[in-house]
Amino acid sequence: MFIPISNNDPRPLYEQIFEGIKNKILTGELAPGDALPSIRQLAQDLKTSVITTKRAYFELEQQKLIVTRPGKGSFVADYDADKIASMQRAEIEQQMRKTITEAKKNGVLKKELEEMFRKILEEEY
Amino acid sequence: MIHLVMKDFYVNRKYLLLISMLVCFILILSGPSSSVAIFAGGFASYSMLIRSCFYDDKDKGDIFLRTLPIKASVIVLSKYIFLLSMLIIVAVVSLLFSLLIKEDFRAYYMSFMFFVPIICFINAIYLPVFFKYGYEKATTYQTLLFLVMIFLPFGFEKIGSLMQMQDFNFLSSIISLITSSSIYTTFLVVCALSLALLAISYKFSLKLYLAR
Amino acid sequence: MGNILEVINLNKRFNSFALSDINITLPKGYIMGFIGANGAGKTTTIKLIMNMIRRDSGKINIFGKDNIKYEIPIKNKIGYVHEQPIFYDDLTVGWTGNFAGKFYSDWDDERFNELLEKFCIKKSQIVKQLSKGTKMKTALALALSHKPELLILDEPTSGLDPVIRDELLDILMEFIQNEEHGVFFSSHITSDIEKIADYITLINEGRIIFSEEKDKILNSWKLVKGDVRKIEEYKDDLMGIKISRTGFSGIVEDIESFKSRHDVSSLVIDKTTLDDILIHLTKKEN
Repeated sequence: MFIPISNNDPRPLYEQIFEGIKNKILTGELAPGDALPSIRQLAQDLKTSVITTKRAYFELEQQKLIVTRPGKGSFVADYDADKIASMQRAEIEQQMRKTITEAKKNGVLKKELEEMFRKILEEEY
Repeated sequence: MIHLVMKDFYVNRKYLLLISMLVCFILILSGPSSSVAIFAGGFASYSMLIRSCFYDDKDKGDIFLRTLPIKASVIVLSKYIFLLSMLIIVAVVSLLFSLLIKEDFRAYYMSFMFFVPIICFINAIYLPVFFKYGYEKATTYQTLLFLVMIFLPFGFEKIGSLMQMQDFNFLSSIISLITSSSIYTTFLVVCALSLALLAISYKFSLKLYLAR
Repeated sequence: MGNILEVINLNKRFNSFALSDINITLPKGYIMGFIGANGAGKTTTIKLIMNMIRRDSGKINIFGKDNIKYEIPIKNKIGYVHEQPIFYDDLTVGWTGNFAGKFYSDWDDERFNELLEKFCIKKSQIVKQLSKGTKMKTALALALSHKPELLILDEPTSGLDPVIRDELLDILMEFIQNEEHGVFFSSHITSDIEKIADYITLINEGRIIFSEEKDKILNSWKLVKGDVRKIEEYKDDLMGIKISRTGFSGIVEDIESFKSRHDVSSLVIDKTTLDDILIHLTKKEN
């Protein structure tokens, strides 16, 4: 399973792994019940430390995206599509919030922001 | 432990060959005599031991051994066993040699009882120094020892003649004890004393080695 | 899960150098990187762990047992690789393996042959004639061929090219797939340790500066740089400050609380690398 991680990325490695796997689940690349590599196997594949992958899996478990069965390994959790959809929307909302806060800090006016949003909306949709 | 002793023989095999040839050469030069055989053999044993210490030190073989599951006591003991095994070989070969040239056994026993304790004594002091300070420092001592070894036989003769002239009571009583008891008893006593010397030396060496 | 290695209040004094109060804990199943400048005490610590020299005070437990009392059974399960692999130079690889094998209770000759083949080393080669990298691989093959549970490596890759270093990392990662195993290795090459170590211990001038989870250090600690004229403002909250003509740099343990206490708009806040940490937290020798 290929997970993109980069040293140039400012996010900590465990977070990148977490996001990488989460993405695969949200986009359906990993389906409920699919087996994930063991934390050690993943660490070896990605050439990172075991504790890093352990943390990533821990976070995934916290978010109920995966389940770990002792002695068997980790699997993608059963989730319903609605929950995933709402998670995805929550992601997007968070990103929007980030951008808007950034804009506000840099002194961009609300009107300017709306203008920018409309323009991009036009282009994309 | 036997592996360590075998290792010492194997690792120094070229030197062993050289030394053996030297001994043969000396024997040929001096003519057949078990005394010479024992002297040369004893010297060769001593030399081999020093050589094995040199080799261990040079390649830091000691460190290699310490990373293996080998007790320190075994490492130290192997050097003594190495020496003893060589002395035994010398003793047996010289005995056979003595039989071959149909020599009076007394000559054999006398030279044996003379040289072997000396070799043991020298090594009994050398080895603790080696185990504490390593080969380099022990070498300085070795040169001194070597000189002593060379000159002691002559010195002994001198002392012997001196004693005959001066008649020291204590020494003369010991000498008469030696000459009166069976040569075999004396022989055994000498062997036992040499071994005891080495055993004491071993205890010392081990203590020093562990304290590093 | 127990600890595979425990060093407790270890002390050793030499004439000109002393190790003081060394405490290290490595749980089973993980890799610990041991870093420090030259002469900081890395090799001495490892020698003490291997009982190659005698400690003055303190305890060292390996597999939960005292390393002196249970020296032989412990050494049976330790694979050790030295910076300059030490063998009898004039002898062959085959002889060396054979010799070492006689002392290990679980020597696996097949595995030894397997590894030699994998590393392209012939048994008939004489140790003296091997290149540095090949010598290290020989030592590694030896270390892995008696079913070890703990690997201790003392600067195994110094002076070796990135290709071999990468191969070594692969082997270590393969080794740690077993949760009962552990790896303790010291290195100057911090990039290697950054990749695969779970824990990092930094030693300087005979003392442990920290012994922590690598992620905690590399994720939370930050490198802060700023104008040297403003250093008074920040210096109390920075570790290991370095000053140049125009700027200063230092390490911050907790960047969030630092931000809450100081105005950071004129500062540069960077991810730290182990090199940064080493440089800032290490005092130079004399």
